[in-house]
Amino acid sequence: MKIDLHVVVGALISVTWFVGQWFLSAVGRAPGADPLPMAMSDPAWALLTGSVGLALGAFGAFVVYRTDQGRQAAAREAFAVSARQLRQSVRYAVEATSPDLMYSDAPASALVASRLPEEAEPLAEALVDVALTLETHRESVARERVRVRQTLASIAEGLIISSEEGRVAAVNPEAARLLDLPGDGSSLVGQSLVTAVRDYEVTETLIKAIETRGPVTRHVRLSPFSTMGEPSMARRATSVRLVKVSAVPFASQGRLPSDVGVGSSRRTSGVGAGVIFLEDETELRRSESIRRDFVANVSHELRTPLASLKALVETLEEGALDDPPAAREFLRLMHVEVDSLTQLVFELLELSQIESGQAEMEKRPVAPITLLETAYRRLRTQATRAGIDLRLAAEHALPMISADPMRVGQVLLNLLQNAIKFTPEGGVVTLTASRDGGGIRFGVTDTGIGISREDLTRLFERFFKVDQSRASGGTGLGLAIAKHLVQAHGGVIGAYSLGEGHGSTVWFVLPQSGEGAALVNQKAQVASQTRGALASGDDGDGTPSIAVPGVPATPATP
Amino acid sequence: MARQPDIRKAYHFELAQLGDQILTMGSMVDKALERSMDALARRDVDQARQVVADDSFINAKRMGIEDGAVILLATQQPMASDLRFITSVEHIATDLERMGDHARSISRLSVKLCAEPPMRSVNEFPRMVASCRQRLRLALDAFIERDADKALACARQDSELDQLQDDVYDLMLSTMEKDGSTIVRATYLLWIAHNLERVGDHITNVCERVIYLAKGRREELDEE
Repeated sequence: MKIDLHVVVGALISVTWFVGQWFLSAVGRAPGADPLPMAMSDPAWALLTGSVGLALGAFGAFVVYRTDQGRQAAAREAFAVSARQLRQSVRYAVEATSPDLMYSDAPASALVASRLPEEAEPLAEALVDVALTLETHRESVARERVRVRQTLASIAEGLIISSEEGRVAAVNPEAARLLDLPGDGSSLVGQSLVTAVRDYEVTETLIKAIETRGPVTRHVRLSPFSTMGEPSMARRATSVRLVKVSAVPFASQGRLPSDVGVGSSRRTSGVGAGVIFLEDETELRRSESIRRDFVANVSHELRTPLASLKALVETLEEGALDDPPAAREFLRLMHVEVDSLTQLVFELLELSQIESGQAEMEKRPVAPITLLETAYRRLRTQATRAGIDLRLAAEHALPMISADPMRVGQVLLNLLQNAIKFTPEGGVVTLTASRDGGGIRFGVTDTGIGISREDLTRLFERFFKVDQSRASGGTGLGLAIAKHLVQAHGGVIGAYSLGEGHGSTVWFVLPQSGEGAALVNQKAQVASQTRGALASGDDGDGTPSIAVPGVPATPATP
Repeated sequence: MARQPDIRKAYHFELAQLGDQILTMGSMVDKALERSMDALARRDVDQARQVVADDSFINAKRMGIEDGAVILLATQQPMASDLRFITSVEHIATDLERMGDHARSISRLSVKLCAEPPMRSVNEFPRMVASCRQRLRLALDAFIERDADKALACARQDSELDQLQDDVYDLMLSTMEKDGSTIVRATYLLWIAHNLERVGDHITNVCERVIYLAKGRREELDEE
């Protein structure tokens, strides 16, 4: 301000000076006037002083003008800054409510409380209040979201929520697993349900539910691609999942574009808001069918000897009693049938005891060779009678194993009896024992009829008989019992064959005696027990399993 | 385009629906293929008959898609890529329907095979079906994403199916030579292999359509 006044005064003086000089010089030149001193009347002087004055005035005016403009610019700048900050504050406040920024780390209040011009302070305070409220809401919504996500993830059922527009609103990991979706499925949120799920039976369940405005349930067989190429049918079958799909529609508040349909009220697909539940029933169905098969098998096995007993009794009643030699023969036949019934009931009881873990194992350190020799001695005569060369081939100085000698002996006898039964005259049956990782591998190899690939997968099932006719006798429980006995010892059992007519080998591995022995494979054992007859030592393909008990190599206890 | 208000909301919705319909139909065909092969492997006559019966749903789906496409063409005058999309949808639906027919043929042959004594399993079949299903999935992914490269990659895998079919052919010929009683069964199995190979050809057609859709020009892929 001060400068301005000086300049204006200066400019006025200059202008006055210039005009005065110009006037004086004009008078001085007039005819008859007193001549003025030369210097004063010189027009060059007047021009010079006038110019200086003019320059000073112009400078003053310029300074005044600049100052004014600067102030305006500064004001404009200040206004712009405050407006920007206000805008930003508002944006932060708005963004705080936006779910997209739900997980941004910066608290909204801090952003809003950034520097503001004084004029905006009341507004800023109001905004900070709003932001704080929003932040509280935001936090609670975020907490809620995490809780919902955790809940979804912890649900044992698969779950997909579809939005009004037929897009995936939420999907949990179990649903992703069952439907073979990428990752835990969270990347699919926002995609069209049909594109994401790619299983028309699942999406159609929801469409039906929306159409009927009520829950709809159906059973769907899902077969993932990953294992489709497996040549092994058994392995392929295990990847097929039987899933119960239930869909419940959400109450609709008017559907998106149906009112503005393209010249036709026909809806091409009716995916809308709702929730789909997926329940894996594979194990349930499998155990159901195993139970059904078991009951059917037991009744069949019981009925056959009972029917022949009844026939024999009836024949005796109808007069055979009066023919003593015939009666004696009938009695002998009845004895055979009763024996086989007794054997069946005995084996069933034993199997259920071992399976339920009630059978007591009297484990103690045993030399493998002792077990082999006992079995060998007991069956040598039977083998010789059948014209079979029974051989014993065990490694020297094998470490002791921890086992119930009675039970393992029973397994060996069982395997040997099978081998002798299915090997024609002139064949060879070899009993072997060797080190295998941390355990001892026992094997019974024959040169008999062999086992087909399909049969290998079912060999250890209850009541499975390679020979479906009753010609070869047996209850079909022997190998199932053997499997459970071996598993009760923490071992694994398996079989392989080079094909029909090329003999076969049934093997089992038992852990060495030692501190770690008791812990062996407990997990696998429990798992296989719960899965019942489906679990067997072989991997479903006939090739020997490589699952060898993970026993630490401890020195054999004497 | 992305942020603009969609003034043709219903139109774009219907276009997206057409795409979804193709995926739905793809899933139906995928299941038909899988089930026909499963029925064959397990000698399950009921399931094979079910696949044959379910083919009518696939055919009905195709009609529905065609109607939807025609209505869009008639009422919306689609241009450029939308127009290509709609015509591609029609062609792909036809190819999918033909694939469904092949699954039905396989199941019919399965029913016949179940009346014959069992024969050794053909390991090539699960691999052929797996290849078909994987490629079908890939082709439809390419369609949804309008990804010409993916479609090209998918089309190039067709040779695997041809090779497998040749393997089955050799296997069946030698089986028939060894044992004359297998001629009927082996012939059925040959037909099954042929049907699977044809499914592969239709998948290649779908790939060609996708390339046309993405690039606006046709490329013949059969040569490779």
